[in-house]
Amino acid sequence: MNTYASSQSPNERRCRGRGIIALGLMWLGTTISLLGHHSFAAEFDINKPITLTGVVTRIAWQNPHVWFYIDVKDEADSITSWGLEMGSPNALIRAGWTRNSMKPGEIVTVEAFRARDVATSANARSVTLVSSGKRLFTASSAPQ
Amino acid sequence: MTKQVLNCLSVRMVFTTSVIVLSLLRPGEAQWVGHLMPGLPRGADGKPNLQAAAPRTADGKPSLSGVWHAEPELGGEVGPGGLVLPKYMANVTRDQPPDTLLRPAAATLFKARADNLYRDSPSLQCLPLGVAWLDTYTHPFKIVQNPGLIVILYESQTLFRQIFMDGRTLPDDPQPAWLGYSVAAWEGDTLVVSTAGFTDKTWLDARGHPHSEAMRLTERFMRRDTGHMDIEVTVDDPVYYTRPFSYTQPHRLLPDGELIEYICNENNAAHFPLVDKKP
Repeated sequence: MNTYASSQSPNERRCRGRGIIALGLMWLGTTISLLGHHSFAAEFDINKPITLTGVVTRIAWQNPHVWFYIDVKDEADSITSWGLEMGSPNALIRAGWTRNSMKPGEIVTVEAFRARDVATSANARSVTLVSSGKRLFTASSAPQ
Repeated sequence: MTKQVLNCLSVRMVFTTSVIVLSLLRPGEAQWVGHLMPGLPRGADGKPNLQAAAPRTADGKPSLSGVWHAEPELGGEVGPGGLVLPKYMANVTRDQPPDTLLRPAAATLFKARADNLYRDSPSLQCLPLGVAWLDTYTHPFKIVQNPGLIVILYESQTLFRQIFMDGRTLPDDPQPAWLGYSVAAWEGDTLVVSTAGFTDKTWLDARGHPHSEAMRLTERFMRRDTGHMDIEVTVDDPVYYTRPFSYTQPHRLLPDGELIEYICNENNAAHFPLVDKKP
């Protein structure tokens, strides 16, 4: 049984090469959640990147997203606790992480995108261990 | 921003993401370190020969068994996480004439999902993505092929799917199911899987192309060689689409890889709203 109406429109063509750029920009503009679990655009702001350096206080190795927390000291020696979201454990494992890759007490520098609604939350896209300089990607839902 | 800057940005993005993809697609080293997949053709150095002829089962049919993942599209769209997406993960209609494919009800639903920033995605709710989306998704799946029954274990949401080859036919009046009801038969070396009885809660892709409960999916599994398999998907949903349409998603074997559980709901409730997310 075929209950479909016919269609005569020409096939859509995508522009390779420049299309990559266009699609990349389109994606940057819309930041929809294509991968993993959540809606990046609904929770985080691609236009608010932030770099934080602080001391790891806790790691919650859990689904659907691993979170870790760092204490960040400002110029006035005031300490703010930040919560940072990464990808899911399965994605992090494939990216070379274990739950011991980053330990409480360790100093890290995090590249992240700030949350829309919570001043001290962000989506981490990379973590650099200050002691070794080792940089780990976070399998996050943000663009690298 | 100048065009040159955009070019540089794009090149950097593709380069960086390619590196990440490569790292993401390594075997799960932290899991089952050094475990070699038995029966895989290997060279003298022990590395899998992914171009070797596809292995066959005792009955002479191609063996589809193994851990597979949808292949990132060469030069393709960069998605969240920096991954280069599999060709049809974001949009299963990308090869179709866009103006005529969706019936008005589907177009309305599609737009509403975009307007809502995809908050109602089954993915966001830790629900099954649906068969079509799973066929193009980045999480791997494992095919276990037995006579009379093929099982697919999906890492995404840690799901199982049974594809019966024991002579049964599709149910006449099925209760809607997240992954539907699947039967299969061989056409030469191609496994043709027919699935019906879907809930309409799943999406066809990440952009939220909808489907109705009337949808029938046909998946044609073609293992080209040891390391490569195509899945040609045909969506037949006269309620939401003006005609059937097909696309072919290439897959790669994850040699010596293994699935890793993904129990999405472990702490998903904490995602709503974000302020309560901190565990």
